[in-house]
Amino acid sequence: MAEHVILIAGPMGAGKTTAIQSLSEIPVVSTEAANTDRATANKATTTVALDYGEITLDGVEKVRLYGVPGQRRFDYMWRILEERALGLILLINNDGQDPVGDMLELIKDFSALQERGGVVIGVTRSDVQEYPHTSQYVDSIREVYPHITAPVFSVDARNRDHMLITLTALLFNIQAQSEAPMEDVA
Amino acid sequence: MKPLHQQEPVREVCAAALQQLGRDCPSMTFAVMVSDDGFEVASAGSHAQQGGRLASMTSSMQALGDAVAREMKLAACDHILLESINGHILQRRIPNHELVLCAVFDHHELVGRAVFATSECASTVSTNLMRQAA
Ligand SMILES: Nc1nc2c(ncn2[C@@H]2O[C@H](COP(=O)(O)OP(=O)(O)OP(=O)(O)O)[C@@H](O)[C@H]2O)c(=O)[nH]1
Ligand SMILES: [Mg+2]
Repeated sequence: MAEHVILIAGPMGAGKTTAIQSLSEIPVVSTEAANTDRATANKATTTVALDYGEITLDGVEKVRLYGVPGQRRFDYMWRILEERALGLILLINNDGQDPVGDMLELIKDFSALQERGGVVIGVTRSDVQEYPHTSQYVDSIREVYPHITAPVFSVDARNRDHMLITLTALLFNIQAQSEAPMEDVA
Repeated sequence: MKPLHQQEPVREVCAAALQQLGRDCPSMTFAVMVSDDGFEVASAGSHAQQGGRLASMTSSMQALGDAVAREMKLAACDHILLESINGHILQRRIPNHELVLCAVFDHHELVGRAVFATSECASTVSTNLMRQAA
């Protein structure tokens, strides 16, 4: 397989920057700025442009990872970066106000990417907030977007193995989707 | 403590400096002072575009400039100049503060003058905010 570009999106504080740091084999390119919106996510910094990292899988396939800012004010970066991407890891922090709602909305925001390649969901911070359970994410995807296949994993963005499984699942999905027979467009 | 963009004394210092910049450079069409994470602190001049989007973009550009400088083992990005055929945009970090200035000029302004005037503006804001904090 050729080189892949994968986007990591999700709400502020979901762990996008952390996930790229966990996965990348090169020093990551980051664009963190002092965070003044402590009400939404109580952390020192927030991403204002992008994160960039690289990982080689099975020694052959190079994956370029781009993280986007979580805050919607920066959604022009979502549009810029999604153009070059083939798949999406959607990280959702379970301790948000309405995590399942956030996921459904973001799947719609990145529907082009979902159609072109694929999407997997990683639910983070379940140790901080136990509910909703991953099955609720699965059920609402089935209900709202019955035509899409989006596996849901419970992950910790700080854990490299968790993020590797998520990434591998996405690449597998992309592969499967590209080999599926084309729908009749005529 | 309140976020920078909600601190009235900070807003006042920035607004005054932006207005002075407009007087020094009549061809400045719009200027905005933003927090590092892209919230508008103050603005001056008129622009059809909503200031909010330029504020966020200023923050992204500054952070990308810093990332490129870091990659090349340079010190942090001091200012960025964007030239187009009908005007230019100069954005500049405020020394010792988590603030960035972005000023838009039409094609009548000489680039050198814009560079100089925004530099003056940035150091005025820096000095006045330090004085205020003392
Ligand atoms: N307890 C816990 N902490 C986590 C988990 N996953 C990530 N974190 C932490 O949550 C925080 C996430 O911060 P970032 O990685 O900056 O989040 P982000 O998604 O990049 O946020 P923005 O760039 O602001 O949109 C970090 O402090 C991580 O260490 C998890 O599963 N459990
Ligand atoms: Mg981030």
